[in-house]
Formats: sequence, structure tokens, C-alpha cells
Amino acid sequence: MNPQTIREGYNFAYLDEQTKRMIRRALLKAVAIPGYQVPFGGREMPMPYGWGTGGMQVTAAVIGQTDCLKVIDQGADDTTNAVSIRAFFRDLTGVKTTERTEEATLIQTRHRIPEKPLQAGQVLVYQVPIPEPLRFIEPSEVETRKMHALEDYGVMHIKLYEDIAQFGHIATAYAYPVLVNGRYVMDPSPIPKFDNPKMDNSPALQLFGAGREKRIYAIPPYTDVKSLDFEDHPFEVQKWEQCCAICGSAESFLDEVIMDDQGTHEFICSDTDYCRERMENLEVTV
Amino acid sequence: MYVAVKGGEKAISAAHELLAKVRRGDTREAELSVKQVEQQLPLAVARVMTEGAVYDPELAALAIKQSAGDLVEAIFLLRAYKTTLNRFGICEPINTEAMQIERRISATYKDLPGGQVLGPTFDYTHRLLDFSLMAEGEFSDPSDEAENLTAVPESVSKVLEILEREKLMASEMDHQHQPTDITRDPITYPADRSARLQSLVQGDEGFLLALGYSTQRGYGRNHPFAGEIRIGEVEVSIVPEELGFEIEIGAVQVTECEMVNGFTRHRDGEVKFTRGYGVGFGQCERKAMAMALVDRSLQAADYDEEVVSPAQQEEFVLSHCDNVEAAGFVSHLKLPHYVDFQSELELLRRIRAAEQSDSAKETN
Amino acid sequence: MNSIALQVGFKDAVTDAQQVFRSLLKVMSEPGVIEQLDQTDTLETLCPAAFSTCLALLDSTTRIWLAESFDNDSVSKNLSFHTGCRLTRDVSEADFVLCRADQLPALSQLKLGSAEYPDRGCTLLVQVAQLSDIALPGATQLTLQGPGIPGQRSISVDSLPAELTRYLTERPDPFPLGLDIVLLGGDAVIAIPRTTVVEVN
Repeated sequence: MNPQTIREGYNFAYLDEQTKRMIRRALLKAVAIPGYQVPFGGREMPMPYGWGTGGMQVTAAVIGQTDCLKVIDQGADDTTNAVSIRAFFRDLTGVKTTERTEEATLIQTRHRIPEKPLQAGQVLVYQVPIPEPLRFIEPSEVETRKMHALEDYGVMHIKLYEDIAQFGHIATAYAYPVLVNGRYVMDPSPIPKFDNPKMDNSPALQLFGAGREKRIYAIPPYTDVKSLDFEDHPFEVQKWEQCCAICGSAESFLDEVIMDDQGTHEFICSDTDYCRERMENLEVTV
Repeated sequence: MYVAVKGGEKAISAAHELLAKVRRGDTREAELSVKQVEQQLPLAVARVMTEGAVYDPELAALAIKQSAGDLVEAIFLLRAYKTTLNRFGICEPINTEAMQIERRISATYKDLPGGQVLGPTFDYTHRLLDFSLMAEGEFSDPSDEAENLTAVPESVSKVLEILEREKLMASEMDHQHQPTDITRDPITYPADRSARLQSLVQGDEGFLLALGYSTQRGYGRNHPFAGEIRIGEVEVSIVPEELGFEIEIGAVQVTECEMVNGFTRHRDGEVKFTRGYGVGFGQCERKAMAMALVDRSLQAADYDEEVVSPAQQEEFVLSHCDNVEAAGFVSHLKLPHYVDFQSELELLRRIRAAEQSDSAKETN
Repeated sequence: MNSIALQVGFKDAVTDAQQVFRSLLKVMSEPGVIEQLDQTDTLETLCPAAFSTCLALLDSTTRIWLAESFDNDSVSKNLSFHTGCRLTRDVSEADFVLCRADQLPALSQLKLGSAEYPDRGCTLLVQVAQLSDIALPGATQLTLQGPGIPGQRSISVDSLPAELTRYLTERPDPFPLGLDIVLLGGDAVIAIPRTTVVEVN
């Protein structure tokens, strides 16, 4: 099927208007209660649950003809799932797409926040597998809802403290819980904790969609987002001794690549757009 | 210097071409038609319709063909298609008492009005491979005797109602509430019975079968008897707002199982049997029975039974029974997780480095 | 039967609904920011911003309560026709309350949801005479702080009723409970969600 026939046979951005309205109402409540998980009538999407259906439903409810869309997975625009989701929206909306962070009005992401600081007016949509930060401590939804209602987050602090006792460190390296606007403990989706500080007082609007779990939540721009920690064990982000093997960056989040069967490894930027831009600038300088 | 690998879009389209080739198989063999799937794999079609939650044998057959026989994938295709459909109305409840019976059995009475009608069933087949099916031979229609044996009266009264009339069975009450629609509103816990039953109908047959089985082995035992299983066509009707009266819009084949379960003292003070309900599209007896067992175990709270086994835990059962959700989330582990894995590697290396330097200090 | 004039709603249902929503998302996530909603004309006494907001958010799954000035055939029939929304006379079960500034229902009656489900609270749509980010003469000047606001933001609302001002400054429902308020005046819209700390200048 070519994009034209797909667009003729389906709604703009796939979802019907009633579904979009339902998601839009949920999004408005989500920004009004930062960090709180709003249940919504999640629909089956033509992609499997767990592959970004929540993020896609949010994007489908938000996207308009004048948007410019960027889709990343693991920070990269060219990973297969990012390619597939970008093609889906390109085919079903006809909107402009880009790989450049600064050009995008709408960015759907899985597991990363771009290295280049986001700007006012941009919307970042996260794909979320398990929206409940307390889920792995308390499996029952009835119980975790009660904890959020009572602002009873003792179990979370105990869990983090037990890590310190056992490993000397908080043993959470990604999906590191945050406190939003001093009230709700929130799962930032499985981004590395390296990215957590970027969420705090960001000028961009951050929206989170969990399709299988049927939850939407949000962080408005300029909102306090604090990673949980202890006075004697303050939050800190990952650091590498190496630099990116392509662009030489010492500031970005690095992926490890194995070069041979002996396990020799190198490190490269996980954010492909950031890495490309640095390379272009280096070439200009040379 | 390291050079990044690119070309995702081309790789994806190549994968689709290879999949089409696998689906088609050896091109010297005739292509399977959707009609053949619909007509000759009706039990697969029934499962896909039931768990796909759309009654359309042709589309279910298409989904089975497209998914190369992977029924969970076919169910997913049908669900995703359903999402895009408009809703024109809500039908009246189907009346299974007025079912055009094709099969009807009860394990609780030797004989009863309407009789035991075996109908088309695997039950008493000896599970010996029938090598005659390997040759594409002539098919002979059932004998007159076989047809006559399955002739049943128009309306056959229901076994559990006989027990209800004798005040031995818990009554199912119509509370006149608008049923929850789980395809529009997410389930919240505790769920009401309508949400629970909808979720179980769409639930994975294998998962419910295992849970039902676990109750028989003592994990939430509820003393079941197959009170009645019936398969046949029922009418579907709607009441258009502008007309104000019922009109029939078609018929669907369904399988219904009503389980008679152990008696207990009810809230009204009387001692009566309890019951579990299972239903599905087409011929889907195993699913309907498993569903009825699980429906009964999920009523534990209604009878002040201690909730100790998986099949009794509503949130556990309902939030894990959907195979479209489950298959999606398990399969997403195939997606890249480089970033999270890198985060774990970094942390593990750091913890080990700290421990090694600690133990080095101790040795000195 | 009296025939009620049905009025044109959105000219392009899909595009207009999306644009109105994006504006609402912007104002709700950045309290005090003004957006223009001119996708529809005025519907009798209902300003374009209010009519557009209704068309973008309401449907057969939402219950709306209309204050006296909007509770007439022209407004209610048009809203029902375009959105299929359910009208309710019981303000405490309404998902949306639509009123003119001088006809505010008792705010303590509105649906709040619960501590477990604070999203189930009502959204209050209030049509006012005029909205601005510069001080209008004779209008109420408010200073807003909280999520969505770098530092603080000032707005000017002409005809903000005293009861609403009191609600906003006193916040009788402790967070996460609270009303999310959308102010609509002409083509302009501003939102003040439950998180915003409001001071009167």
C-alpha cells in the first residue's frame, strides 16, 4: 500500500476522532496534575503492545498538519522501531519528519532524552512500558493507588536504602524514580538516570503514554522534577572514562559496541543526531 | 574508526518480503483460499473471533491466512482492525435459551428435557491420526440417522434454571445497569462482573485453561460440575432509537457453558449451589469451560472465601489474561535496550571496582 | 415544533479540533499564557473560544451542565447536535460546567474526584468579558505561580467573579483535588489548573 491509499482508507493519524478526544481530555487532566497517572481507554494499535503503542496514541492525539516529527529509539533516529514508527506517522498524516532535534515540534522517544537542550514550544512524548514506579515493590494497583493518594512513599525509600546496604550504591541505573512538583513519585520511563536532570524545569512539555497499562501522565514545562536520593547518597549521573569514538564527545551518553570476539569495546554517542552535528561542525572547522 | 551501521527502512521492507515468502510456502502447491480457511478450520476461526472480539468468520479466516496460522497474531490483527470501526449501536442481550441447538450436554442429569445432544464433538474420537485425510478423497455427508439424532426442539430449557426454580441455585440477577465497556474504559479494581466477563471472553484460552485447571487441583477449589454446555446459533437484535422496537439483524454461533459449583451459605442466609459462566463465539468449548471455572473462582469475595490462589485474584487474572497485551510485552524484549543495558553495565562495573579496591585495602 | 437554527461548527472537523486542543494543551500546561481560538463563530451568547472548546472536548461520553444564560435551545441543541454531549441538570455529576462569569454555580457542589482518582474532577469553563496579559482598566489583575510558569506570570481578567477569585486564592480543596478552570473571553483562552498559586494584585 502506498501512503496515499493508506491515508484515504484511514483516519488522520489512524485514531478516530472520538478516541482522540478521549485521549485529549486525559492529557489535559494529566498536565493539570503533574506526575499523576490518568487512566485512559487505550486502544489496540496496529503495532504490538510494548512497542510504543502508548506513545503512539499520545502522538496521534496531539499531532497536526503543521507539526514536524522526530522519532528516536535508544537516542537514535535510525533504529528499526524508530524507523517503523516514523514511517507510520508519515504515511498516516503526511507531516514533515526530521532527524534534527531543533527542527522538531514533536519528538516521540523510547529510552532517551535528546542531548541538545529542548526549547519552549517543543513536545516530547515518551513511550512507557510500566508507568507505576512502585509496581516492582507492590504489584497490586489497588495498593499503589492508595500509596499515591496518601503520599505514602516509604516503601520506595526503603527499597533504595536496601540497595545502598547491599551494593553500596542505589542499584537503579534507568527508570530512576523522580518526585514531580514535590508531590507525585513518577516513573520517568526507562531512560538512563543520566537523562533525569534534563527533565527538571525543562521549557518543553513532556507527555508519557503507556498503552498496555492504559495510563497517561505529564510534566508541564518549568516544573520541578527531582530524582529521589539521600543526603549521604546524593543522586549522581553516569560518567564514562572514554569519549565517543566517532565525534569525541565527553559529555554525551555513550553506547558500548563490541569490536571483536575478544570483547574489545569502543563507545559511541547514543544520540545519533547530536553526534552527526558535532562531526559536521568539526569538518567545518578543519 | 568506528562506522555506524544504517539502513533500517530497507531491512524492514526486506523482512516483510521474506515473511510473505514463508507464508506462501512452496508455490507448486495451490494457494490456500480464505474461504477454505473459513470452511475447513472453523475451530481456529472461532478462537480468533472470540479472542479478537469481532464476529466475522471471513475476516478471522483472512487474519489466520495472513498470520500464517499463528492464532495469537491473527487475534491481534482482528483487534487492531476492530479499533478503527465505527460503533452504530449496542445489541440487546442474546437469548441462549432460544438457541438453535447443535450440541447440548449436561453432566449433572442422565436425561432431561431436550435430551443430551452430542453434536459435532471430538470428545469420543480415539485420538488416532486418520491417515485417510492425507489423501484428498471424497467426503460423504452424515447419514440420515446421524442428522436425526441431533434434531432437537426449537427451545430447550436451561439446566441451571431448573435448579434455580427448586431454590437450589444462586440466581443471576439483571441489575439493569449499563454494562461496563472494557474496550472504551480501562478496567479499574475491584472490577464489576460485566467488566470481568468481557475481559475473560477476550482472554487467552491457554491462560484461562491453566488457571481453571489449577482450581481443580486445589488452588482455589470450587467443586465444579458441567451443568450445561450448549452450542448453536442465537439471534442478534437491536432496538433503533428512532423505531423503539426490536429488529433482528442476524445470527451468531456461540458456545455457552454454565458450571454448577459447590454450595455455600449465601448472604440471604440460604444454602445454595454457586455458578460460573463461560461463553464465546463459534465452537469453543474448552475456552467456555475454562472461563466458567475462572469466573466462579473470581467470585470468592462474594462468598467470603479466602483469596489465596492465583485464579481467585482478580487483578492478577484480568491484567494478565489478554494475549495481545501479553504477547506484545514479552516480544518487546526483542527491541533494542542498548541504553538501559549500558546503564546496568556501567553500574555493575562501578560496584565491582569499588568492592575490589575495598578488598585490596583490607589485604594491605 | 420550533425549528432551531443549527449553526456551522468547525469548518474542518479534524484539523480544527486538533488545533483547538493544541491551544488548550498549551494554556493548561502553561497557566496564564493566552491562546486565540477563532475556529468557530459566536453561538448566540457563547463566545467563539467557548464554542470551539466545547466542540473540541465534548462528546457522548461527557456530561455538561449549562448555566442559565446558555441553558437555552439554541446553545444546547447546537452543542448536542455537533458533539452528542449529554446535558445534565445535576451540577455535581457534570464533567464540564459551562457558565458565564456572573452565573457561577456553587463551587463546593462541583465534582472533585477522589484522592485515588483526582482526574475525575470537573473542568470549569467560565466565559468572561475580556482576557489579557496586560492590565485592563477596571479588571482583576492576577499573578500566577507554579508548574508551567517560569517565575511568575500576570494576567488581567475583566469580570472575574469574586467567588472565583476567592476560590483561586484560598484553594479550599487540597491538592491533588481541585478544579481546573478555563477562562474564555471572545477569541481568547487562559487556563488556571489546580496547581497554580494565585495572588490578586
